[in-house]
Amino acid sequence: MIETLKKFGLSTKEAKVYLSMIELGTAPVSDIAKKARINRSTTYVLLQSLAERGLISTSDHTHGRLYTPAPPERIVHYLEETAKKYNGLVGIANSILPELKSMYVGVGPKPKVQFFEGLEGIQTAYEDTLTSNETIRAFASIENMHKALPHYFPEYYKRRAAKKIHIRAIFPDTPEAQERMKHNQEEAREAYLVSKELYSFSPEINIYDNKIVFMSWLEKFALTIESHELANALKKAFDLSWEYAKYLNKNKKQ
Amino acid sequence: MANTLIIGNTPLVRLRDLEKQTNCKRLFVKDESRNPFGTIKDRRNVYILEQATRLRVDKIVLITSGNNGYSLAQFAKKTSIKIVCIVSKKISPDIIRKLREVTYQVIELNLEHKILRPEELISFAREKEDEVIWDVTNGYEEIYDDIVVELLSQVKPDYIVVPVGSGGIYIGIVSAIGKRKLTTRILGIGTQNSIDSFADKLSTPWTPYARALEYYQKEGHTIYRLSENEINKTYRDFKNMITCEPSSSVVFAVFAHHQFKPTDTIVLLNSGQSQIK
Repeated sequence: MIETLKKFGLSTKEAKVYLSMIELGTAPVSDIAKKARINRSTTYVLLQSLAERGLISTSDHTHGRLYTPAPPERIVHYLEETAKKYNGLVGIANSILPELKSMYVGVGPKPKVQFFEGLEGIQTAYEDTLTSNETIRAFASIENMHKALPHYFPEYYKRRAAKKIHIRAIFPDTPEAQERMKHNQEEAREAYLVSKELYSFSPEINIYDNKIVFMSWLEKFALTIESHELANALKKAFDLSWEYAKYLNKNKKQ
Repeated sequence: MANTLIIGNTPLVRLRDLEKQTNCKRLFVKDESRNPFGTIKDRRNVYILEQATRLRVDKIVLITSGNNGYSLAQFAKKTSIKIVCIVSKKISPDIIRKLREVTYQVIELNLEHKILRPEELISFAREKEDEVIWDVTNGYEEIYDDIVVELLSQVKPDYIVVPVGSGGIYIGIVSAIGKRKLTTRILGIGTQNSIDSFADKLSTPWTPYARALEYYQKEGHTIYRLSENEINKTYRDFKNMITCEPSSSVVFAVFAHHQFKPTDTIVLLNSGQSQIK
């Protein structure tokens, strides 16, 4: 019975109080609280709520206030009133719908942000890079990547190359990065190394299509942002870095 | 016609003479004047009454220049729902008299300078605290999807030309086309005058669809706005070709504004003619 009353919008405690009152008839709060096994001060609040719904009434006597349940049919009337109220709200919702829809369509697609937790989450974010329709632009820290997911990466590189998804990457100059550079061709990669002392960073940032993915190897999470506007801006920032990395490498060779 | 109460499936009429004059491959008019009360709004009104009956609505209120309220009230005769029309003080006494004959209540207001929100309209119509009242001035444009379904069963238009007032019909048709990922472009024809146009059903001081109209124009659909002279001339030129009124005849002005290709198939949407004047 309590579960049924909850479907009508009553809380568990309200349902207990209501059922207790139906059995008790007119009673003071102390009796109702005792029968419902709810403390007296909470019972006062619940009785107030039931009175607002018209499910009980009150009367003051010399020995204090008494509470009387409305006839059980009242619960049906209460639901009819509630249904009427909501039917009216359906009309209001329909009448503001054109403006809401207009606002929704007018602003265009909103950026979609996804948060992935843990190494498994980062792996999920990496898997999405295999859907890229263009060369991935990446700031990456090879040693942190390989340390965190030692078994994932060699395989990932092969799968990316097989899908003919190229990557253009800037790595801090470390022994691990130097080793990886030897496999650039087979792993569909073009990369520049930059000074570890000046430009060292631990997270990886990938930019492709309308997506930006941040992978934090230290805090172990990935954040994906889908937005043409933001991705385009970051692609330009990467291209600028790429040109400078190229310039630095050219000067280093000379 | 009103006794048959067959909604939709309106005829698609080929305008061969005008094809030659305008150098179009195929030109049709989708004739919504053939709905029971002579208007495209009949479709929407039947749909609204179905929803309102299902949810036991007591009263429906709407702002109308006459015909839409008349159509709604006629359909509502078969229900217990009361229709309240809110009209501009400027509309003719004849229209008000005819509306009073079929509606529960007609409320005359100065509608030019105030935008009335749904809650305000509902409060005008309310007589009892527990009445369920809906404002249907705007919305329910999804029902115009049916028009696109009917069209596509007969023709694949390059363009559909529709009159634009508040924009509900335009948005309904654009959405139906977008949903089906069709390349058909929707050309809207509206008025430059937001108040007191000769095409009275197209002049509106405010529309909830404003942002959507702007958005869809960026997406490749177009709206042309006519001067009063153009509206008058278009009505004079085409009123004998189809059953129309100034607000619906505006679609014929599209040829003066849009450059079609000789291979194009074009459908003009005739939104109908008022049965009360």
